[in-house]
Amino acid sequence: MALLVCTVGLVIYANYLDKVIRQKFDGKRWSVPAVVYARPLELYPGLSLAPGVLAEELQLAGYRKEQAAKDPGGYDRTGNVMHLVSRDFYFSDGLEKSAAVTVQFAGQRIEQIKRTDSGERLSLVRLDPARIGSFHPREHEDRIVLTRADLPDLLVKSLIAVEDRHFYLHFGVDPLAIIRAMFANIRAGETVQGGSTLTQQLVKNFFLDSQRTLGRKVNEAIMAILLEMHYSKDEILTAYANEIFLGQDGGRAVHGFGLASQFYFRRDVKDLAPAQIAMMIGMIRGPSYYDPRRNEERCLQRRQVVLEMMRSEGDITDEQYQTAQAARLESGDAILSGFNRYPAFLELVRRQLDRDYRDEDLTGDGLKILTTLDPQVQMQVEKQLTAALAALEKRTNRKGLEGAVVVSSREGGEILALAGGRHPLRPGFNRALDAQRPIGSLVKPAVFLTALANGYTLATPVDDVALTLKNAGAKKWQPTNYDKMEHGRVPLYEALAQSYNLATVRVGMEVGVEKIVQNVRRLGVDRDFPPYPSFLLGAAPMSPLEVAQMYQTLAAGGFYQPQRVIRSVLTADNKVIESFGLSVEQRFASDLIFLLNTALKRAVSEGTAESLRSYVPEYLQVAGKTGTSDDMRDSWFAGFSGDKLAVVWVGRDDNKPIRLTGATGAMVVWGEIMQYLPLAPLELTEPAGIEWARADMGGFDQSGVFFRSSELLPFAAGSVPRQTARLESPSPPSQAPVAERLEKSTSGILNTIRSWFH
Amino acid sequence: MKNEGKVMQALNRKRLSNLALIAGLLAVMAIILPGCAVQPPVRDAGGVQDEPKKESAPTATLLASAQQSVQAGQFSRAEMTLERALRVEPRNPRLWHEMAQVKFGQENFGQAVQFCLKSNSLAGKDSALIRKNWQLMSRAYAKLGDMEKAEQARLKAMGGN
Repeated sequence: MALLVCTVGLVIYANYLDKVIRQKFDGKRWSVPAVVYARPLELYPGLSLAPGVLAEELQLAGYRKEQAAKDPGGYDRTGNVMHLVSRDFYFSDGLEKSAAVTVQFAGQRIEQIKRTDSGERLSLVRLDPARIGSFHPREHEDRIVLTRADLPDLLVKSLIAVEDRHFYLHFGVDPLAIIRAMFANIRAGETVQGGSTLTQQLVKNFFLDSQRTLGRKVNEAIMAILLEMHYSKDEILTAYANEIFLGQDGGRAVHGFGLASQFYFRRDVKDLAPAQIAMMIGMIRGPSYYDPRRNEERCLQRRQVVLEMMRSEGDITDEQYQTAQAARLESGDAILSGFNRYPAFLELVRRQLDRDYRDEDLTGDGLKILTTLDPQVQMQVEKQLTAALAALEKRTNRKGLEGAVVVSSREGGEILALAGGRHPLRPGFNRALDAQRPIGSLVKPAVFLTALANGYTLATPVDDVALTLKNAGAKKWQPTNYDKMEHGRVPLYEALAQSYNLATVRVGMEVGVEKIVQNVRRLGVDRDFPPYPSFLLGAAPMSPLEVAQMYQTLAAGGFYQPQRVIRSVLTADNKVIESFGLSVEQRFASDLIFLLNTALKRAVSEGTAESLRSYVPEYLQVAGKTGTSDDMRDSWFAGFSGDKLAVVWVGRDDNKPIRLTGATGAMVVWGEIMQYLPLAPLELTEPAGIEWARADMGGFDQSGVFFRSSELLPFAAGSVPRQTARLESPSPPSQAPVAERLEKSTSGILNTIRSWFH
Repeated sequence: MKNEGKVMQALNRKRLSNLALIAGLLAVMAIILPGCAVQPPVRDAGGVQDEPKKESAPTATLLASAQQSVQAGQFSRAEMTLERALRVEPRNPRLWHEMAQVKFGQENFGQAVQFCLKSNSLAGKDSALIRKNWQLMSRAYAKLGDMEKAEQARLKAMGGN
């Protein structure tokens, strides 16, 4: 009777375990995380790229530095010449085949690219992109899932020889091995040998429990037997190869041979040398005990044991053995660290995906997500933000500064880099996406754009004179300038370039706050803002990403395009399921934007952002705007060159004053970042119909003295004021070389004179 | 107030420089004025934007390949190729025009118009390209059923700016 109860109990229990283990196994087998890639690097003659920077990119993409690059994923460099062999990669437009190319540099540029074998010149080479992260259900795990066919013979043979000799014979447990281990342990008086089969080890790994209690062991044994009943040896072996724990990379556990071979050797598992296979197999017994980074000697000894086993089994030749045992361990810095190394950017990717995909799709289907991240830009952003904030803290003698940066491509709207805080690797509050802060004067371009669209010109005189606004039911509002002064009557462009608050409020009230709110929405921040007068000075809070979208529309000549972080999504077998192509929508007339951007250039060349020239050379003619919120709690800068747009915010998480203006805080960070990036000069294409004229700004200054001054300014067709001299051959003066500019300024003076006589 | 002093200084400087300017000019005026009155000031003789720029080698390769794809009716392939080209030369108006052709081929006529507008905004003085853009816009508007705009675009394509 008791026996019967026992048997029934056992059967029920075994049934339960069976269910648990099958669920686990089936769930696991198909769970391949979505992998996220950076943008691919395109190499072509003329590209601004220093050899060192290319090497850095290749390292990030998991390339190996070699004596002479031969296999895919290898490169070598001698002075100005670099050889590299790219790896096969499926893009949304199909397979880009591995290519062995020789890149010749001239200084900081690529001079020539040739096929290494045939010497044929190439005009464009697309490299396989760096893998920058993956979305796995368990956050701190990462893996590259292999199939049985991916596993090299030598790896399988030596794995079995070292860990489980009778793998293909036993039924899940190996009684002989257990007995042998028992004797060995008794003799030693402690546990020195485990008799676990691969199947048992797999079960143990599944449940991540290293307790060595007897009950655990029995459970493991039963589950191992059950596994063997349901699944083939090959399935079990493959699951093992993907599950086995092989080390720790900071907060990330390295599971499986696929990821481990990338992590330790920067190679695909199929490209591993015998010494490398031996090292990994050896590490199974104790990944941290035999860690090559910490215990080199121990790791080498263990590798030696495995290599000898390989030779005695006849799996490697004597010659291979000799080479392998002489091979040095990979140096610590060759180890490919941190797949999820851009958590702030990945979060943005994730948010965009969450709109379209279910969680299971992202963590289980092996999707490939090709993004817009430019690792070169990202590296500079992280480095310079951290350094610049530390320097600013030192200067102001105050701690606790935080910052956020968004960099995008000017015409494409692709997010190239993103920093959500000064500690790029620390996940947490993503200020680039989630910090909503008053944008201060960054709103002014919207005010003046609206003015230009409503009859104002760049030369329209506006009064920078104190005023008091009375809102129905609200307190009186008396805006002031940053310098607490009035600047009298100034032309519109100067009010923007010098960021005069009083003039801005007067202009804004004249054209109507409601219209300006509308235009902020049309610029791309599609939210409701209450149309209070304080909106005119940037009281409305926005995130750095939203500000970037707003300035994107200005930088792209009035064409709105949604910011993009993902280019396309491919399935595990390389079918395109989604592609986020370019789309544009003209929201503002080209001539309005041309006028506004001309004024924004002036903000840098002679306005509040004048000191930017100590970072970015003048010939680049960048346009930009500083912003400072009340009591100097937020410091902003938004600006663009010919090819890149960047927005920087600096402030504190507790919202206390930081004693930095837009120009002394965020603009410094902006300059530090941009000066290390290859930048194209900002060219503004002049729309048809623009007329250039010297606007005569003469008048009486505050002390009642008459003065005159004249400025060459662009005007929309038919809007040149009467009191000005027109120029017939339009072209902005700032794009001419210095000698020519001198000539122009003299002819300009003559024009002014002429205007007196007309 | 200190600041006030500074401003006064600045104003004085401005006034002084204005005075100097006027004095100096009065001297030269007599000599130059008669001849100068009809002569427009010399500006940018080089005319950077007058000549349509040629594509750089990588872009030319991609553009040719995209045009082939368009011919073959492989519009999404052409689109991806053009995007690559635009990353190399984002302000090349011919690439934007080609993109408009692709959008037209994909029967996305609204976007075809927008890409033409974008191309025009970068075209400078490339009047041949500008005409092509208006022609395509005219066809796209017609497909959208907006005959009035189609006619306006057609007139612009014929040279009436």
